[in-house]
Amino acid sequence: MEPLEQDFAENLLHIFDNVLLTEEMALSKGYFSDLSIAELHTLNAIGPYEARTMTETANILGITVGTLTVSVDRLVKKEYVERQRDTKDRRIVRISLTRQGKLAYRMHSKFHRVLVKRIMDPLSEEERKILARTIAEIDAFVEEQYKKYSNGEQYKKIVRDDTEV
Amino acid sequence: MAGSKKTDRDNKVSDEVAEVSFRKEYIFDTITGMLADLLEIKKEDLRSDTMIFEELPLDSLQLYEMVVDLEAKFKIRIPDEAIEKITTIGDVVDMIHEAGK
Repeated sequence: MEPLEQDFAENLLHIFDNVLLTEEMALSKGYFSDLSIAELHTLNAIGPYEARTMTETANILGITVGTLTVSVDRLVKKEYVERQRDTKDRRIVRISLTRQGKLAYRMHSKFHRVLVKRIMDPLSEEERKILARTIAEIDAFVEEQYKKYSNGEQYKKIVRDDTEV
Repeated sequence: MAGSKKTDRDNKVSDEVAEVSFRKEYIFDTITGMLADLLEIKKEDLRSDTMIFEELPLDSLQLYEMVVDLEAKFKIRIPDEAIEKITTIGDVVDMIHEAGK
């Protein structure tokens, strides 16, 4: 590899590791120390507003309803998520975030916003456009590889590891 | 029809309730009440031009507690972009007042 490519590869991996580590550390030291990263991502998929069905949420996360049920059970017990029956069709169960869940969601998205702001602020308009386009391309490429190889297995593993603790 | 008359009246009543709840005095009263509870300060000390981030010891969790509670109370959405534009309590009142229109 060319030195430039070598640097790029190392930096990319470094960013990935550090973002995850920082999120984990911020979680463990903060107000939401009983939440894991995988659980936070479940809260993100449910979202702060309309109640979602289990199937919708499982699709967003790329996991099965069975796997999601395990995660949601824990989140209900920890009072981040609540279940309610659909008023029109009692067979449908919807899940939504509690006040505590919404707070965790918003604090987590704030972390992402701060990160983006810190990266984007020193750049010119032109540089921002180039960076945004490059990041989108990297994202599309990584996503493609992920789908090709794992078929969603990776996330399932994270959730499963998490629920085994 | 008697049934439809009742519905009309009900609608009118709920419209009036909505109008009152988005009145600026009511919104101001709600926000200052929340801030007083969160920060354990006197509600009377809060003014429309109180600078939220400079004058009040509000941390980011407390800020989001207020945001989440205001969203629930007024059934509105307050995105982070809107929060970034806020300086004073009056700004929050105006933002909620606009959202209720």
